[in-house]
Amino acid sequence: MRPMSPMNPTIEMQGLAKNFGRTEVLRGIDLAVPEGAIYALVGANGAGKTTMIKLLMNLFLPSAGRARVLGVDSRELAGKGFNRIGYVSENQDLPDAMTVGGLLDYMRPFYPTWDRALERQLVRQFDLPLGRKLKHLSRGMRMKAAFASSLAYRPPLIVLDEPFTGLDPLVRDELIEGLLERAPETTIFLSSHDLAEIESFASHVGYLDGGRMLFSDEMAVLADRFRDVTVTLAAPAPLPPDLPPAWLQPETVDCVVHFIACEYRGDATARDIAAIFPSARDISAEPMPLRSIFLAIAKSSRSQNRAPHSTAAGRRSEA
Amino acid sequence: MNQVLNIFRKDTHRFWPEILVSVVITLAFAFSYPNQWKVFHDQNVQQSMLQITGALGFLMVTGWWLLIARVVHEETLVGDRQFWITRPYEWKKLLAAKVLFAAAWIGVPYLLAQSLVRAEAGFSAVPNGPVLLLNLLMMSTAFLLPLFSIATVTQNFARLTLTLLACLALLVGFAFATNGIPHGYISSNPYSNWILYPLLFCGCAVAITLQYATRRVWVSRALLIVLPFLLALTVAANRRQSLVDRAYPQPGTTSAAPVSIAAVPSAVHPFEARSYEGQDYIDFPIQFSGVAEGYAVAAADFKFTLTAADGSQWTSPWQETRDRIGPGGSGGWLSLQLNPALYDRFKSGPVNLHITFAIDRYQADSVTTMPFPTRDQAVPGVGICTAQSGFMDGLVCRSAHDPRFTYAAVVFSKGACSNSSAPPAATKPGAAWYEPGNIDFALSSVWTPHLYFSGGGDDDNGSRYRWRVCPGSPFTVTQYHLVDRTQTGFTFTNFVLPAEVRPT
Repeated sequence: MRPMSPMNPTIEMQGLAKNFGRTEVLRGIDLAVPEGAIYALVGANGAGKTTMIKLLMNLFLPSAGRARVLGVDSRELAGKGFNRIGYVSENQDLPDAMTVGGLLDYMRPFYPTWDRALERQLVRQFDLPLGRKLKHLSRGMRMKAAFASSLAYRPPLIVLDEPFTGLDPLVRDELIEGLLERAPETTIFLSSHDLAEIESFASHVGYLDGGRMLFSDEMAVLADRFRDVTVTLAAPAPLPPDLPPAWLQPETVDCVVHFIACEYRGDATARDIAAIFPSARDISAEPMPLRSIFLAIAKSSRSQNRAPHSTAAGRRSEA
Repeated sequence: MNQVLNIFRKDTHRFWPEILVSVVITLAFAFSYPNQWKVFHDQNVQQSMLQITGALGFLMVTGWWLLIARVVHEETLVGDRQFWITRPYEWKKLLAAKVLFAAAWIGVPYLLAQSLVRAEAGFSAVPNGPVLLLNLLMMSTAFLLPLFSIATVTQNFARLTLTLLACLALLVGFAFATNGIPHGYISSNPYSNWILYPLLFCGCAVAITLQYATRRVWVSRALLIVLPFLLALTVAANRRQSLVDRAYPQPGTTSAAPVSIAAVPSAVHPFEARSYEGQDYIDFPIQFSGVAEGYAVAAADFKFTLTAADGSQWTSPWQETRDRIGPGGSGGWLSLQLNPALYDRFKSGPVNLHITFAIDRYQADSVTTMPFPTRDQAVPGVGICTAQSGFMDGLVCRSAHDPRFTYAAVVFSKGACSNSSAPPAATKPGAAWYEPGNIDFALSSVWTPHLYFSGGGDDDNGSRYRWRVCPGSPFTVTQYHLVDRTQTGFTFTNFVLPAEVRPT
């Protein structure tokens, strides 16, 4: 993978917002995706992921704020601007009457950087049936054809909207493998509501909930920040009223207090715990899988929906 | 490969079955169209042939509709899920590819088919290319361009069809509304609403360009919704009343009237009144005379003013008529239309009736005398004609371009025509006028005027012999050119409206 350049982000958003009538779908998003990143935008259905991607692709116009994609204002993205972007969406209407070979033949002249050797490699790798019409292909095969036609010109940015939804694990792995082979030469921005499918390869992750970016971080930093903390007390005690906001979902059962620390700082956090629970006999802070982190944030966000900005997890949204 | 050609090639490959069907129908129309001027001895066969040609014309237009809809919707401009909108399509090239497709698979077959029709009709296709292109341009403006523009703002064929049906319903409603106004717009020379086609062309072209350039569909839709209202405004602003006044200026005080007109009621042809569809009509016999030698006039419209003894007055709007008068003069009828309330108001006493005519004045250019054609023969000013005999004597002609205002005189002979050189037992003159049509455009650039000669037919006394125009008999054709347009009229004093209005 190329070294990332935070100074020159491939995608940049400033106060990006989108309303449909009175419905706020995106609310003032600030985000920078560094060059070379594999950025996974996650969130539940309806969180605003697809809207954000459509704003980036100039399929929607922002209601407020702005976005830049490869240095171009998203509102001006058109025509030749798409020479450098590979976009695949689960909802895309492909030219069904075309064969796979016909699609590749047709797309080839559009791209000055189209690589015939890479095209052949992708066809082999994805085991694409060149003579079959897209409408006669399975969903997985259609996605593979879409991938092949979007990777063969070596775009410096690949944007994928829920690319693996509804695919069987084998096809998903094949697509991820094909994608990762391109990763050294490109920036990948993809959305997903399935944490497990992106956890293994994403370098950055952002969490969108109700149109707000709750956080955006590097995966490694995220894993370091979150800990599943269990405190064993000498005697049962109620939870104090003023726990730090960075302690999510605190609960107590007999002598055990449990919470998720989203700003874990090792000894400093241990000292905070000791100060709040003087009778603590034992403190364990376990690393968390990504899925558990997101569930915790989502639950916490929904429970504090009246003031979601107050969550500690929402304080960072710049990768 | 050039993007335009790449898209064009893809579309052609994608829609070759539709293209094939459309081209075959267009060529079938071209091969069938000459039946329009062929003389069939069996009227039923002729009728069937004309119906087949009509059906093929309808199918041809339907095929174009299908092709335009399919090719525009192939890269539909409505929605955000199409794969092509995140590909490096340049909108100008995409639009150019679609126009190229329409030109290649609608325009070229149409021009080719029309060249075949013209060749079959005996005209040369190549020297008249601009005429063909103009016809194609007019047809594209009136039909293909609106269809194209609606296709750009609809997502698929079903929605396009629904939109077109809605437009059709509006058009029919508008036609009913304007037909209710007797002085509404009528598309005929010299009244043509010349702003209509440029406005339609520009409106559709702007909507299409805007949609391809920005895909902001509601902006284009708004434009296309406003456009019919603008067109309706031009129609409203170009009412027949003002168009005729503009086209036919009042005569100067010293200029002589090009024709004398007088009312000539008689015991055989009195003034009569009748009612029809809620309006009253006074049928009014008139006589035209005094046309100078070498000239002819055509009365295009008329209006009338009723002035009662108490000074009250009412003037009708311009009403359409069509009388052509040569130096010999002619008789005719006018039907003065007015509503029953007005009729009742003015029938109580004598009134002054002033009738004003809008007159086209023509001057003769050339007079050609030739034998009456039996087979295809060029008739100056009209086209290529052949004789038709049957219940009426006449000429079936086809005309390709620039027809002229023409007077054709024949000699009727009594009884059967013989091959001998002996003169016929009795003769009498007959005549027909040919006036160029007022059609802005047509599916075919070859028209089929028919000249039927007045003065023939059966004797009133029931003689078994008919008056006929015999082959080889003298046939004189006079071509005219328009000199000017003016108004003239006459006053009928102490006119009493007929007491009884007959229902019809």
